[in-house]
Amino acid sequence: MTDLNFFQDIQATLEHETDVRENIRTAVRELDRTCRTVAAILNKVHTVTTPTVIAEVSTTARGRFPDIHNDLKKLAALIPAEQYYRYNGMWTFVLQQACYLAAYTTYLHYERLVTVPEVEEMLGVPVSLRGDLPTFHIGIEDLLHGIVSLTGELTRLTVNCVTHGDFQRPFRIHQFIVDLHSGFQLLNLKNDTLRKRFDSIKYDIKKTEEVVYDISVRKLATKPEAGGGQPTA
Amino acid sequence: MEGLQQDSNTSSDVSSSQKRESPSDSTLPSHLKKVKLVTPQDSTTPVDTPMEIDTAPGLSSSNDQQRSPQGEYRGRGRGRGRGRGGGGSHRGRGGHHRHAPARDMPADILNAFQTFSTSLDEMHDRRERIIKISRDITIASKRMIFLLHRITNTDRDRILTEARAEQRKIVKLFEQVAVELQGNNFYKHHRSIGPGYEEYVEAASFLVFIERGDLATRDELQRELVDDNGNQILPLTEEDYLLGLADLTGELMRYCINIVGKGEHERAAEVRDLLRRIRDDYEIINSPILRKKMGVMRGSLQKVELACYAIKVRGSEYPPEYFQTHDDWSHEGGGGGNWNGEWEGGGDGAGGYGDDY
Repeated sequence: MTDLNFFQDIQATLEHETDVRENIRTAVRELDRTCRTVAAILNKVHTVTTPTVIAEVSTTARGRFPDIHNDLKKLAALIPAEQYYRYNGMWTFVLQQACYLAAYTTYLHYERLVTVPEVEEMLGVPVSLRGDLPTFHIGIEDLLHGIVSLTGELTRLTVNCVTHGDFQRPFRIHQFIVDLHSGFQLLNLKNDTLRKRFDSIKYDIKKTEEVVYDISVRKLATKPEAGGGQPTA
Repeated sequence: MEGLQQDSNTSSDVSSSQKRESPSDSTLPSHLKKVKLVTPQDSTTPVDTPMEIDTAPGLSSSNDQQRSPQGEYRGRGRGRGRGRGGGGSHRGRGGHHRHAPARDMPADILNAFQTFSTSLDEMHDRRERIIKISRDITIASKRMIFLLHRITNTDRDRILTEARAEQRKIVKLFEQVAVELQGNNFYKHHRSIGPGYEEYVEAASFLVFIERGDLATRDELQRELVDDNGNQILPLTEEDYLLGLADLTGELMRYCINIVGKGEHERAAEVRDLLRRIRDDYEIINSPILRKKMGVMRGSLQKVELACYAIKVRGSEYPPEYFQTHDDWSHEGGGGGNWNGEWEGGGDGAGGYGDDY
């Protein structure tokens, strides 16, 4: 580009940046594919929801996390130090998906919220809630997005385990989603996408409540630990 | 929060609470839905919740409406309550200052989210501080540009000195915001400081243009972003530089039209050529970030070209003294007189090309 009047050196920098972006795009595509594979494995819990199958599925999924780990490592190597947030728009979505997979797998296994150290261990990437780590990391927003995604999927699971005759799990899932919702209420969210997605959790609660109601009213099951005033006919 | 807990409780033994409210309806899912929909939203006002249960279910929606303003107010405490009615529940400014729900919420979730909350607040607060300074930078830069537009042959030195002083003030603002933009934060919050950068580049490069009639380089502008000891405050990215210069073309257009009105036709042609070269370069660079500004830039160049054309065609009908007198008038009319007025004066002679200006 010798035709330029003013911006020769800038042109070179811009071209270099385009190359960096190109490489990142390829790495992100790879990571996305791996995440989808793991998601497909996890999706099997909806077809058979017996505890043994769920345990099996979560173990299988757990076994695939090293793949995500690898892809993330490759991606991380492409990012210049302190420029994580220059390019992070390119992978936030996939990274959120990865966080969600970690949270979902952990829930299926232990029926509790994934912890930060667990996410770091499963994805092989440090979590930096304050986002001040110069290298590749998981920021707070991506992590929270991953957790919000969890509620939608669990709601779906609630419906399906009733179909398969598991009447106890809905109570537990419902309680978990309600707890998560209360957790999110501790946050001062801006009017951003996370806020909008948080707003949608209430519809998940509504849905699980309906399932719980349907089960209770037909006396298919009762709430596991009677919380007080439990209608046990 | 407590409200939510309570609600979730009541909902799990939903049949009993339904019976209490309206026994006959308890089996109707449609009615149930109505009640459910409010449930999560109730949580803002835990105190109200028992009342809520006692009221007729049909009223619940109107109750919700009554309460939403309250939620709004709390939300606005942050200065950004542009949300709609709907779930005002979580907007509370000091969500975590309220007592955490004593019951049910497991310690792991509570602890995790309390940590999240701290980090999230810290991030949001930092962003607000940056945006505030960015706005100050924008305002000061705009002021500097207007100052430079008022320049005339007689008070050139005074205005340039003033503009330099103004620029130092803006650099001081950058110095202030620099602490918020260290390390990762530079790119993390770049979108918040971006407008300030653009406007500053526009002003600083316009000053350079007025001084020596040339385009400022990025290095040169970056070198001006230093503190009193000569340390670099912040870098100037290529992106901000290009965006700022794209805005500069608008100022060059104004400047050009302005001097056409004063009769400095050769100088106007120089500015036009500079504009043309900038535009040619931008067409080659063709970066996606610049696409939005390209349209404006093309328009500016076209205006300038039209003005130069009109001068050639119609301007020749006027004796040079016409413009000369006009220039003198503008000097006497108080050096700081606004350029727009000057332009309108010249417009009489120059005909139609000023219409779209």
